[in-house]
Amino acid sequence: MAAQMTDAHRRFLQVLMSHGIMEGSEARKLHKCCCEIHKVYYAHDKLDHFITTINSHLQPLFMQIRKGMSEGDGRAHYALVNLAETEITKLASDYAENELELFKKTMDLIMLSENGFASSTDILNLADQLKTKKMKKKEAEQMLKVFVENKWLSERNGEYTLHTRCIMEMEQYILTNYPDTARKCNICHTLAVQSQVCESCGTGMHLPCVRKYFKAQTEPRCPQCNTTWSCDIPGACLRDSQSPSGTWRAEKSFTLSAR
Amino acid sequence: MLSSKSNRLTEALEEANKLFSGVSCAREAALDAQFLVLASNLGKEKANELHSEMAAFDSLVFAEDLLTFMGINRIEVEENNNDSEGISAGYLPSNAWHKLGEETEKYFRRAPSFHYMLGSFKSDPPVPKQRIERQKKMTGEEGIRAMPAQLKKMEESHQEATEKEVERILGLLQTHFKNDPETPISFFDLVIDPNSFARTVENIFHVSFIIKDGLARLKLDDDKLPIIEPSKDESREDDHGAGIRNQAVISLSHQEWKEIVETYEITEPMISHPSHRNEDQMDIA
Repeated sequence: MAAQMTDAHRRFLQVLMSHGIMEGSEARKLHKCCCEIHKVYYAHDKLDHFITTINSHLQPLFMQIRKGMSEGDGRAHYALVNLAETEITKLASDYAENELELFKKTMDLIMLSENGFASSTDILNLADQLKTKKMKKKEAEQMLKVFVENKWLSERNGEYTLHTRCIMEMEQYILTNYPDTARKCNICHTLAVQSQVCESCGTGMHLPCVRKYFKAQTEPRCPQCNTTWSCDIPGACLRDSQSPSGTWRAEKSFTLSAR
Repeated sequence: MLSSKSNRLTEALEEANKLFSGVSCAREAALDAQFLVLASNLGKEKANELHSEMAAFDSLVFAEDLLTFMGINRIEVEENNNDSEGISAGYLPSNAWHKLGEETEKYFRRAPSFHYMLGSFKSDPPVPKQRIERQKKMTGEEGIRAMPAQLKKMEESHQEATEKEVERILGLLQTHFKNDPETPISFFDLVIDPNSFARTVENIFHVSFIIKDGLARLKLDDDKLPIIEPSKDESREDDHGAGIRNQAVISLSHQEWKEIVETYEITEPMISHPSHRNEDQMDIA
């Protein structure tokens, strides 16, 4: 028997709906705030139970509050995602058909790239090839900005990758539609768009997962094939990238700023 | 008619409406249209008058009030005659917009809408792509390294080959003369190779070096046929000292070569073929 939704739940849901995605600590703050405003019982570790209540009511609407991990810093995020793919969801989209086509092509580029990033130049060059309705480069650039604002893409140094929100919502879609190129993290078994790959056995891992896994180990070894892991371990020590002589190559060297 | 209290305009319009039903010809319809235009102009003026009863919305004053509400910190501005009086200068505190947002929250009751990406577009069936072989790149053995062809041995460069040839011929000449000091060698006997015209030309070329260095001399004998004999050292110095240089151009055509071979009955060359032409040896590692 599902617990009843109180106004605190509703407020939480509405705020999350307008944000789209919220970072873990923000979500906890919001939880506290909602409970206080509506004088509902609050316990700081009951956020997940709180969310489960909401989810049980969202289920018939094919919506869900999901918890996921950001690929950049490894932090937990909560996002409100859609689960249904029907004719109606196609109609109710925010974007025009050619804009969606641009997004889809961007996603193709990102998934096919080695490091999970697509350069803005490549994306803009696609603008001419849209089948539904051609888009000028200026419009495409504008559209990319809109996607970033709405947290579907994130931009770094002129390159675009999928935002955590997009990955959380589209994970199943990506795994179904890109069966060959999509890669799962060996540690947490979720989709990994940006990953480090062991060259001899091809296992991939999220960068924060790599960091956590190799934290304790003095000699980083691949969990599958046990050969030395030579990609730079992100953020571990302040060592400069000592790429050991050998035949490995780092797919993406990524150093996180020390927190 | 324009006063807001009277309904005269509306009544006039209704009357025109009634009259229009009886209209049959175009001129009357045109008059009716003209009347409507007039009536709408009057209506517009009436509406304008309506506004003048209300206080007008002054956006500048509103902006000022807004800034004050947001807690602007006004700066003491220097006397600046160009600026108009009413403009306030200052900077807003960091929470200024939040404050405004909180206040306006009361007046808007809008539920957020749900934005999503999944299901927006049709998912095409996955294109069977060729599996991008990112895994299992066998970089094990590096493969046989191909080095560029290296020069391991260099027997003779062509430069040195010429010199060696020249020396060989000189040696031949001297040996010949040692054996037979009185008989100068006929030039043609020496250089002509009955088997190869090219060899002949080469021989002449080599002999010319010898002559140039003064180690041999070319003369015309009694029969006016050229003969060659090695020269002694003193003559060499003389030549150098005198600075006399005699030059001769010898031309030999294929036809002439054949004739000479026949006339002189040369059967075998005096200057033998070098045993094996040594080429640069290349070693491919």
